[in-house]
Amino acid sequence: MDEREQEHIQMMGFLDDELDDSARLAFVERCYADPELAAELAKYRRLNEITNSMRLREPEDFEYERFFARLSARLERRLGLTLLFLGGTLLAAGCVVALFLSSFPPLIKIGCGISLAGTILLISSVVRAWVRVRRLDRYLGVRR
Amino acid sequence: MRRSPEERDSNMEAADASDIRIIREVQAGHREAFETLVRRYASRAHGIAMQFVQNSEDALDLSQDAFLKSFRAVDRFDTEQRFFPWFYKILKNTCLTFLKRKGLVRSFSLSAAGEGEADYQLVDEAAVPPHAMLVQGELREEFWSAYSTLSLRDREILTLRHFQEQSYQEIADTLEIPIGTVMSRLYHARRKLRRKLETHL
Repeated sequence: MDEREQEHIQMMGFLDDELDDSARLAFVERCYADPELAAELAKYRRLNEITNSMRLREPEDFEYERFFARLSARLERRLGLTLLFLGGTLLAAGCVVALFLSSFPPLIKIGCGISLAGTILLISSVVRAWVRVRRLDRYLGVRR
Repeated sequence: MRRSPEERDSNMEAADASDIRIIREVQAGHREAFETLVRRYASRAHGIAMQFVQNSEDALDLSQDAFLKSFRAVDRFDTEQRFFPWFYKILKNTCLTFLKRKGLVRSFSLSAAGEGEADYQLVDEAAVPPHAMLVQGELREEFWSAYSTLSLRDREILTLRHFQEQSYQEIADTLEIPIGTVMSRLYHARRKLRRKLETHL
């Protein structure tokens, strides 16, 4: 990095009021001694004024209302799904335990066990495929 | 009206303390407290996302996704840290993933890149739609047209400084870079913007 570039980098701190007093004073003195640097400072100051005068358009109130409503619905759904998953898991585990402690004939117990294993396998396969497709879908961001 | 550095620092400390108080409440199980954080940062999140995707509707969706992700991860949040830099990383990652999925960004990493080193790059700058979401006016149109052609990296630093009104220390914390790099990145971004707006200076 050459000295000129270093001076310009210092200039950013000067313009943004981020230099300490001694660095600020040193920079002002350099500007007095170097009219070219002073002219550059004037241009960057003007650029800063222009940039600071710009404002991003804020979304309308109704857009924010929709935003909060959707976010809270998504949070609720997430909580609902978590509870459903937890409840489902406990229920399934309870059923398995109850089934194997019951006096049903072994054939029924084995049949139920296999069906349960099949259900779990199917659900996990569907969820995995859904996650994979979502990750690889090139058109996911396209509004249809 | 821009804030003085002292006013900015004291506001920043107060906001940080309040953020952490809310996060502790959320971590303690009062999930509804998170809404206060969302309301506090929704506008900033939208402004930041806009700089990445340059479309208000997408920016709202992405900031919503980022809030959801941060809500999911809130239990892992270290309350010794500041909330905004942590949230910013999530938001930026969400926006870059969105752009990457649309094929608009070549590669990215959240690690702080070295000075002058691009950590993400648009595949085709022209593919990003022009900034249509801004207050109208002749100079403004020219400004935004020039601004839109800057790289994501340059827009990011200018946004944090000018539109989020962050101090160098805040920017350094947010981007996890030294203050010297903040100054250097600001200089390079402003130099490019200056070249495009030379006739107005």
